[in-house]
Amino acid sequence: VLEKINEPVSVIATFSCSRQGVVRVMPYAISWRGKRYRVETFGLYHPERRGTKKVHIFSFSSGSVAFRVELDPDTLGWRLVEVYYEN
Amino acid sequence: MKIEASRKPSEIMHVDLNSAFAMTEQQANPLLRGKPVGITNRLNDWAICITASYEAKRQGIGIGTRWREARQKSHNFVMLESDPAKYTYVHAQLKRIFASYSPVAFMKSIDEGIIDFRGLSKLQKNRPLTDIAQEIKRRVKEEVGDYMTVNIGIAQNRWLAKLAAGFLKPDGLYVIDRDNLEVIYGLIQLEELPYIKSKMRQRLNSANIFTPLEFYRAPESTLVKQVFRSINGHHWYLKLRGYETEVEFRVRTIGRSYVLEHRTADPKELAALLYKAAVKLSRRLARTGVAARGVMVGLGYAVSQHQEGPYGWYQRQMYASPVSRADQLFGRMMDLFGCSPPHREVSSLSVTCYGLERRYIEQLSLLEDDYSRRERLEGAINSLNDRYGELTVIPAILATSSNPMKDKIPFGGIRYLD
Repeated sequence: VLEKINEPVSVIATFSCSRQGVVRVMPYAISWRGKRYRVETFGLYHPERRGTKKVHIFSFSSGSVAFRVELDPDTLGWRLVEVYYEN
Repeated sequence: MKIEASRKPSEIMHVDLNSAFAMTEQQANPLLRGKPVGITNRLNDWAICITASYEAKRQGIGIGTRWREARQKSHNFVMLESDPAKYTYVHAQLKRIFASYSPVAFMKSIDEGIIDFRGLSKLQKNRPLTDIAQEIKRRVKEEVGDYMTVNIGIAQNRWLAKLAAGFLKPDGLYVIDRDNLEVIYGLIQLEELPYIKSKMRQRLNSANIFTPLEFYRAPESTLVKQVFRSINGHHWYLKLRGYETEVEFRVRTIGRSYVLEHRTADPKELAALLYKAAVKLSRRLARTGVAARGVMVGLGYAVSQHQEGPYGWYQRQMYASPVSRADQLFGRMMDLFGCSPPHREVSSLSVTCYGLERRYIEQLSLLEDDYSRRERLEGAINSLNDRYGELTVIPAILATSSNPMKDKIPFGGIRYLD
């Protein structure tokens, strides 16, 4: 079941930088509605342009729940956009 | 004159992402992996699958299958709405990987590309292309996503490379060369050849050509005079023998197709949607630096099982002067739209600009005295929309429109992705 959420969330993420200067952001865990979910399988990172803003989107799963979160480059805030869970 | 099969080495590589959109969704959502997944443009009661995962295909679900029908075939079938940003990103990653191997590497569509290795054997240090193909497969997994697989075909020309990529799906790698060419033709059916669909097969059948091998062995005169009745017959004769016949063409049309969220027969609502399309097209024309003389408007009708056709209507017109502004395009679209049959419920619409010309300073019309003012206004609106997102500043006619339109093809043409 796919559920649209669209609410701010807390995410623990690593920001690592390679020798070539490429920054890699990897979510580690997400806190949502009082529960902490650790990223078990990372799915995909992809950017989406909204006007001049480039929003960074991360998809991953934790147990039987899959999340889609967005990192806003202006506020550096995370927003949970979608949750997919198995019946 | 009979021409032998090309003696050139197989140095054209065709790379094709397996069930591209469905696999990208399975990459993004690990819970969907190994499950039958379909992608549609808009999730509603009439949703039709535009691409399906391999798991879905194995259960008889493919392009064109309705959501309801798919759920009957597979109880755990998942239908998702298309997400163009994801596919565009994967496309860009593939393009980047391909470009790292050859200066002549390009995408043919959102999910398939060509890498031309001709003349690069020294640069590749005489590495076999099959080695490079394996490396590309590995890089796709590392740099795009660990669930992503590609089919790779290697041959003497693009068409044969595409044919080779179609073997051993999914995650295949196949090489066609002069030595196995006839064997391959002997193993497959006519419609398994790229670009041969039922109509083309019928034309070939009418010339007593029933298999790819017969197609290959047919005299050039038969193909030119009987089957294709044009230079295309000569091209096919060469193509089948491994010679390159495909050339790149410049952009000839710019168009968009949309599916409507709510079907409607209201001419006011349809006019508003046409204006929205005109705004988008005008931005594309401006970005490409062209203006259009020809405009085509097409409507797809919502026809139930009990109704008779027609299923659609279209009208086109070539005008004397080229235009590129949204209001100008809209005026021409409305001229054509005015000829459409009334009271028909519309479910999709398409607009296309053709007769494209480089955009110089346009011929001033005696009737348009506010020409430069409108040009500046459109330029200002475009700048604002570039900054804050498509359709942020809209004409008043659109302010009341509550019928969202979504691209019929979720990615549009790849030429707009650069």
